[in-house]
Amino acid sequence: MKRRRIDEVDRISALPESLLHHILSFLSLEDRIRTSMLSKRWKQVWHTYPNLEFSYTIFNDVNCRRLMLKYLERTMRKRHIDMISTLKFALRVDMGFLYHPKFETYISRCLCYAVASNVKEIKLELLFYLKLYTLPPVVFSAKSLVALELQGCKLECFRSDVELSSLRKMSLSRVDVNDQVLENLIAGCPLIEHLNINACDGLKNLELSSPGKLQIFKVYNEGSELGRVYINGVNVHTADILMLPESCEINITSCKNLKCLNLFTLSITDEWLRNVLSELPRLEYLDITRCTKLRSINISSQCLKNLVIWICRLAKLKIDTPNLCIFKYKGNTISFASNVLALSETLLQLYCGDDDSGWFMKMIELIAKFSQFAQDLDLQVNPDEAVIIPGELRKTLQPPLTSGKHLKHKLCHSYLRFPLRELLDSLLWISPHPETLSIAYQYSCWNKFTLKLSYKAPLVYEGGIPRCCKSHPLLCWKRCIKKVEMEHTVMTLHGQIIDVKSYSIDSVKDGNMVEKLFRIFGHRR
Amino acid sequence: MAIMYALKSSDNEIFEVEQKVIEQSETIKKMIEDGAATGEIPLQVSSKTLAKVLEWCKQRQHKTVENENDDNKGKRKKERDEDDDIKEWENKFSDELKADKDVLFDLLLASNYLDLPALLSFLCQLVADMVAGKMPEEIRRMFNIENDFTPEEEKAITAEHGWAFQP
Repeated sequence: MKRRRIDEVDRISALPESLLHHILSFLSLEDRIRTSMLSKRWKQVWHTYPNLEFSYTIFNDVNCRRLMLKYLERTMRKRHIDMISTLKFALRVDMGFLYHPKFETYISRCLCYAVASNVKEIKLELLFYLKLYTLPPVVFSAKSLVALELQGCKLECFRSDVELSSLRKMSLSRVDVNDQVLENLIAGCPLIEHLNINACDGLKNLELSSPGKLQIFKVYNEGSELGRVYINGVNVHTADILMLPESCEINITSCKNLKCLNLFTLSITDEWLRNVLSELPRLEYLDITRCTKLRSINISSQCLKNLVIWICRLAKLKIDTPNLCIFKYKGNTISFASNVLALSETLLQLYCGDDDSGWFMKMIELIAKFSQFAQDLDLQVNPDEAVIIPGELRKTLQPPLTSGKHLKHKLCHSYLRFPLRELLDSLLWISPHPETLSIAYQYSCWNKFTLKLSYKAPLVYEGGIPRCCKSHPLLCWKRCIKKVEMEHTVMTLHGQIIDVKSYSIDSVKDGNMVEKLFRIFGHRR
Repeated sequence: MAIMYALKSSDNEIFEVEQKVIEQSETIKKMIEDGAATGEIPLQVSSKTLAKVLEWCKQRQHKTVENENDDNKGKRKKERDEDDDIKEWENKFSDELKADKDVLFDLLLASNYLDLPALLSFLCQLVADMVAGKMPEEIRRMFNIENDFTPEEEKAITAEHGWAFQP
């Protein structure tokens, strides 16, 4: 017998099956199938692989899609015969305008085999334009099922059909389902924790009156006839409510333990919001985005930690939230009042309208409100030039951010409309003595300047030397700057660093350091 | 003073290792908790492989400790640099394993036995990357896999899977 050299031994095939399955999990379907063609051992490894995930993306041709379904059906039948368990069954197939009853038969059989092998997760994403695929009843009695994700199919079931006793997560997207069927379905899922409903047009009244264990709820139903959303779940901690029809009545005030609430593109009113917030005292995270009917928001909460108000056309915002840590706002300048103590993260994206008279005054006034509690401020202004405070105003007004330590500024447009040195000068008027300042802009790649600044004492005007900003007691940055350490980073749009340049400018070595600093910026327009 | 443990390889070599480093291994952690590990901890892993395992564990340990010590200031840049360093280290580690597949498979088995999920996933990903996009014949050559199908069987298999490889 021929003796094999050590480097000729097939060690990979000798690995335990679980390890080979682990390796397969990192491969694409195509590569997985290819390994099954290596040898009998590998054929067996694929045969027992517990996650069957088939996606249409690699099947261009009509015939291919049919063959794929046929192959899938045969594979699952063989596994069924050998009593091999399936953990996950995922099928994503785009049939477009093709339709053949055979396709439905294949899919339904696969689902039967999956359920029979105690599947834990089913994910079905179907695109049939001509006829919706109706889910076979067997799926509703899959006691082992933990997660069910459906897209593009039709559900029909009676209350007695449903016995999803292990189901924790259900997601329905573009699924044909009516109020009664959904009610039957939910009633048969005693352990459901996570429910996601997206574009299910058949729903008119979405009522979850006692979803005992429900924790996370998301509804996104644009363009539907949904008239009412009512959730009464004592364990619901997260609710995302997005893009409901204008007339839809939303009632979530019974979710007393709600901690996280996202409201996106809804026609909610000031009164609705006031009422909801007064009923939800445990709310910690609130995001209100594009709810353009809101005018005046008044929030009073001891628990709120994170508040986002994004593009809402507000005129007034009053927050009595002493424990707030993160505040993000995008929109026009507003009348703002708060009793916040210390924000760890503050983002202001302010928008200046075409004929926004008194813009600079309003912006300065708003930013000044954050001076005491926002040590880190991220400021963005659209259009970019609206952050350049005119010289005459700098002479008469007080700089708004006198105690901020870190200022960040990102430009909105992909080209600079003014010299960078003008921007630097204006930002250092807005925040006269920050420890760090960063300016970022996008011009084919990302450019970011980070400046670490140190100053000569005193920072307050004591007479003698001439003052350029006569009205306020703080010395302007040009008079007291001592040292600047600057880093210029160039990154790709994906954040990969291309180049980093460092500069250090010192008042001892560099004489007129303001000029030198401006010269570095002067090259960039 | 860090608590040290002595690990004994299958070929009787002793490795002195800090508790924090070896506790990444669920198997060893359990042995310690059960009190089975007074004195030397005997392991069914060769000294060559164990040295490699410990090299990985120390690198991981190093990473977590540094992250804990970081304060917020300047963290981004530091993290970035660290990520680059780790990437570089991992690339070197991978290249060595790719060059010597025996060590790679010994390490795979050891990480499975010692219950080191991060290392196991890393190695499985590494093998998967070596296989991805290759034709069966190339894969067989790379790992000395013998094609034990009869010509008829092979023909049937190719026909059955043809749909998956349409252009």
